[in-house]
Amino acid sequence: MTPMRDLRSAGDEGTPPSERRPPCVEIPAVTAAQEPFADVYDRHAWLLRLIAVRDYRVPIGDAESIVHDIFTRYFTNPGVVRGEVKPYLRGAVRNECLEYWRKRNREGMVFCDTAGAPDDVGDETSLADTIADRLAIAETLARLRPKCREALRRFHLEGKSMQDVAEELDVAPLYVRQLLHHCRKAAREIFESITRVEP
Amino acid sequence: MSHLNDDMLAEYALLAEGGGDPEVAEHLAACAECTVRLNGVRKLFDGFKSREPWDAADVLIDARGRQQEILSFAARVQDEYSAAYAALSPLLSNAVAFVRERVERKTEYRTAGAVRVLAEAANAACEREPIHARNLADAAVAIADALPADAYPAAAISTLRGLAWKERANALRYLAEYDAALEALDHAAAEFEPFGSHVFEFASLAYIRAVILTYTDRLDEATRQAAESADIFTQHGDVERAMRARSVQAGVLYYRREYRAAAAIFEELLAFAQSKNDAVEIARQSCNAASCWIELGDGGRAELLLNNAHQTYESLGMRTELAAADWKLGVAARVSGRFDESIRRLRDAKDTCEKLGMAAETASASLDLVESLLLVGQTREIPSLCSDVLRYYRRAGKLHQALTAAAFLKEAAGAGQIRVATVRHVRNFVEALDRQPELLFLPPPD
Repeated sequence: MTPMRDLRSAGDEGTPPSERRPPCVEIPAVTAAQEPFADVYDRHAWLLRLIAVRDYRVPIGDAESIVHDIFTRYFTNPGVVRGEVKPYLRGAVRNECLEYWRKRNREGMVFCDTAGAPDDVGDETSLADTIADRLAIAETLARLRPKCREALRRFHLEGKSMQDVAEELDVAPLYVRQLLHHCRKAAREIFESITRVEP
Repeated sequence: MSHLNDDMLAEYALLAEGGGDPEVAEHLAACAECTVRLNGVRKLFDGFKSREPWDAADVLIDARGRQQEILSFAARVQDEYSAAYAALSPLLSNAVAFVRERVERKTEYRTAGAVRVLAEAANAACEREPIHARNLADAAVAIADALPADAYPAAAISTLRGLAWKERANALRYLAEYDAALEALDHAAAEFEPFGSHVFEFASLAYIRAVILTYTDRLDEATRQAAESADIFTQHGDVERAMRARSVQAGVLYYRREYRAAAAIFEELLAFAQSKNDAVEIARQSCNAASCWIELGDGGRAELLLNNAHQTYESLGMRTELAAADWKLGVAARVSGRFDESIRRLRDAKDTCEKLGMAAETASASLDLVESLLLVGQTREIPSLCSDVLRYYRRAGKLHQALTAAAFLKEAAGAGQIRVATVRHVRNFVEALDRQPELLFLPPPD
């Protein structure tokens, strides 16, 4: 028998995102024992969330629960997967999403909260793309440090001036300009890494 | 052409349409690559102005705590697994010591890790030592049932219980305790059911169920279960195990005498084995497909496949498989109308099988030899061959109905009343008896 599944070699290649994070990015603390699991989680959680939200139109909060359940069960018995982890996880999220809608008696129903969707969304594909983009932006924002998020939120979403943002964050206006510049740069890098199409 | 750097693009994107640096605008008008990059940046910055991504980001941030929970849980279960493996490994390969230890009664083994170790050990032992495998799985079931509900997430406990019951079912399958195995599968399914109708573990349950149903001649249900297993494995990207389920499907089709459909699947499995350069599997699937072509009367196609298998088995020194392939080559020669060659090959194959102690195969090769001899009218040695069949069946531990059938054949041969149809009737009956032990032998209609 195989004594232990080495999660570090489980499946997909590539540099873990944690190795290339810019300083404006929040880096969750992970112990050495958690590292191999964090690696698997980091590599795949975004994709699973994307599939749930974009392909199965599961609301983001519920999609998060689905991802949580999938990883809980996979980590309970990682030996269940003999080949690559990614196809297994894709199958798992598909099953969970179908079950999610079945439990709500809405299997097969195309559901999407289109409130706020751009008017030029003409078909299912572009709607799916829009959902994917929004999720990627949300993921980007979630990965930024709180200070970055706060500055960007006040400036871009709430439309406040740099002077107002500076006052609210209790920093100098010049610092806000610098902060916004660095945060947008970090956001661009995260967004690009998330949306990059892998060969 | 040198491209615009990221900062220039970001600055341009922040400005209203048409309000940016004219030089940048001029470059963008001529450079498709920079325009694509600009659109990406605009998409992001536009997203910052919309409420929805911010709300979704808040959900994701809240979920971080749960992510930490999962990672701590994963690390803990892995530690338990390592500890259980270290503590249990001396017992896993010693069936007697394992029973004496009564691990299921000891609280130190009451962990998720111990359940995993025992289930994996049961899986590894079922072919070699099925009784030990069942004992290991039983211990896993008992421990999984006793796991404290507050120590693990509910989904983890169900997963472990399902796993333990699945391994019990698997061990019972090897012990031919089919009813108990099906019951264990029901227990396992009940644990996995809340996770959805296409949860990965259902693929393994359906596979085991399909094999049992095949053995018990419930072929319709076996077909459905094998198809479901293959589907779920495929959906989860486990091609290897999907192919195993497909092989059960093919086996069922063969038993149902749907040889063309069975051949198609066996050839699919053959192509898969070829794609992996797995010589033994190529040979095995070649023999399976050849058996179908023999039944379909295409001796040439069967011989081509069998000759390839023969070469592989010979080069690898796999003598029992080689003997079985040679026996089929003898049958294929008969189907192709080369009776003398068929008789020679079958005689050799029968002798080899006998020398290797393959009683059931010796009986089958003898029956095929009788059939070839009948076709050329050489009936002199047939009574003695039919006596041999009875002897080999007895040696192979066949059920008494098989002995009755062989005795009938012997009598018919002695009375000079044996025909090809008589031989086939007996062969078909004995084959079916393996899956339907309650069958009674009736002589063929005149």
